[in-house]
Amino acid sequence: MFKKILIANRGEIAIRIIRACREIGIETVAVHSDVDRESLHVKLADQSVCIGPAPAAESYLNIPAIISAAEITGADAIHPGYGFLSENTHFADVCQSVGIKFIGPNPESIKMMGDKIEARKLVAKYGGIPLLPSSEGTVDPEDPHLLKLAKKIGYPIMVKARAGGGGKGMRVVYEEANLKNSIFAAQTEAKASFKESGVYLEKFLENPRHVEVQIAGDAFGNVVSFPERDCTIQRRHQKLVEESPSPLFNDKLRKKIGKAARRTARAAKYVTVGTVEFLFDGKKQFYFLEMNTRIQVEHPVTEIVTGIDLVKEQIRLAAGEKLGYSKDDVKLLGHSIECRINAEDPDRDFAPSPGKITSVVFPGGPGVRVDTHIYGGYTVPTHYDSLLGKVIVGSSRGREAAVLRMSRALREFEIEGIKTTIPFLRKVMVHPAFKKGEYSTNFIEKYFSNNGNGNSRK
Amino acid sequence: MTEGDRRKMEAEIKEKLSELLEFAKRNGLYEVVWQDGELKIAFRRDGKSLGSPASASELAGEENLKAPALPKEVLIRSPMVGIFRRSNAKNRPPLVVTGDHVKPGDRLGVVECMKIPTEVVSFCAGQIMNIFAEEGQPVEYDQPLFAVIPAEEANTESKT
Repeated sequence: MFKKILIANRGEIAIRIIRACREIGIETVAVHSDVDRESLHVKLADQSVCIGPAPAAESYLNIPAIISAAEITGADAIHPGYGFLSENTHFADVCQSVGIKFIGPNPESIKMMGDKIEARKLVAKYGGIPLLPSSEGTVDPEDPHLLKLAKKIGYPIMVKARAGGGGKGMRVVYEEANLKNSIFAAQTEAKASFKESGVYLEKFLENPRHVEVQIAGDAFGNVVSFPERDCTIQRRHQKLVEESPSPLFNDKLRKKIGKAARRTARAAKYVTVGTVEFLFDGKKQFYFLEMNTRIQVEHPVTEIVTGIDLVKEQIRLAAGEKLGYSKDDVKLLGHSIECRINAEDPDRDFAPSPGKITSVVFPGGPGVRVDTHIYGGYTVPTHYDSLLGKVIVGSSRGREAAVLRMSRALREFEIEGIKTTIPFLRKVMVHPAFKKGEYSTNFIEKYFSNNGNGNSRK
Repeated sequence: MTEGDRRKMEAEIKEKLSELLEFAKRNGLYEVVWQDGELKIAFRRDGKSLGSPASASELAGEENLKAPALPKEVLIRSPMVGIFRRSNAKNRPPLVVTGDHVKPGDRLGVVECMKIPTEVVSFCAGQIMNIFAEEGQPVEYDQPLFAVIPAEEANTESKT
């Protein structure tokens, strides 16, 4: 087992990792930029090292600085969290070359799954995992076969970046006439965001549900899957609310999607924890979308419905331990919902709202968990994402009870000094479509556009 | 100087000030100027009797405690996290020692990060008064490494 882990991240996930390390008995090193000196993860870790100025490129994305910090503190492993360097193959390679364990899968798995076209190819070859019709390779707007290929896939079509993620480098095309321009636009955006302009075509599902499956694998080829998470409620491709299990799934579908997820993990020879994402048509059919080779923001909902600590699993699997249990040992213990709290003003089209948090009152009581780095007096910096933390609830009495519990918890949660999305999330929890569990990816757009007040003036 | 060192210096100054106020009261003095090297404390008390050292400091004025007459030094900070080196190659003498005069662009040291050296360079002309890190010591980004008295100040300081 590792003696000392350096956490190459910040905010709530850095604290989550420190907590898991503490409970295992591993020493922790926090790295931070100069503006994050007063951040909670710095205060909680056993040691801290300032690695650079505020801009992420010079601090949290600065590979030499992070490796240097690991070397001077004697860390034997680095946990990359999510975002930042967590899916950076080069970083994983560098760690390997200096003899520091990267807590995640092998660089090969990251590379394979990071390229959306290669990931699809791998999954198609392995078999037993449904896929949406696609171009099977990058497309060129000048290709004479382009229109024929698109027709075969069938409109509407999504143009997607092969190096993409986070909703960038994507365009939906409803008519043949818009295909070429959309490809150009997506290529340009992809080049800017990912430095790689390759795009491919994939059938676009209207108003799908986004369902994902957590998996874990050890170095001996054993793989387990966990009950699915439904992350359909999104705004501009950013997840806002996640729940487990999916309100539209039954045992049969759960078994089927679990099997598809495990097959994907085996195809990728995956070690440690990861997530396989699918699109679900809302009835019976799901399709492989992509695989995320990191711990995810929404991992707590799975922890609550299974009682398994995923970050501890991730660490011990990276240390070479055997999984020790099978998919049948993973039980679904109830229903869990997570709400992401952002420093954004819902009344101003979710404009970022950094600044000093003058006071906080955290929710509590039965079945309520808060994963956050904020505290009264903390100043939210402008340089990083707006996630302040997450409220996660669980109930053994089913979805309705979980929704009520989340409503109750959000009413208790008060953050003063900056604007947050808490008032908006309260409205989501009482919305009839959400309470019924009937929503698709256009939920926010449909019911909350114009002013975030739940009035659709269309 | 680290945050810890700065706080320690402030505490020492407060203690000195209390000592001086007591001295002033006992000896019926109204104006005191005290100097030790570059540190200078000056105050004037009015006719009221001095109570506890705390209220004495209030009379002396918050300014003296918040911004004591610290030397007008400039700090050169580490540009990177890594290992601090005094010279730019093994077995070579240090690039600078305390007392050296430097000008903008002069190399004062090196910070090694993953075996890649980054130079620590002076951005002002002056005299090196203090070196805060040792050869081979791990340093953080922005950590103070050198204290330099800028040229104008260095010339007007009376050598004690």
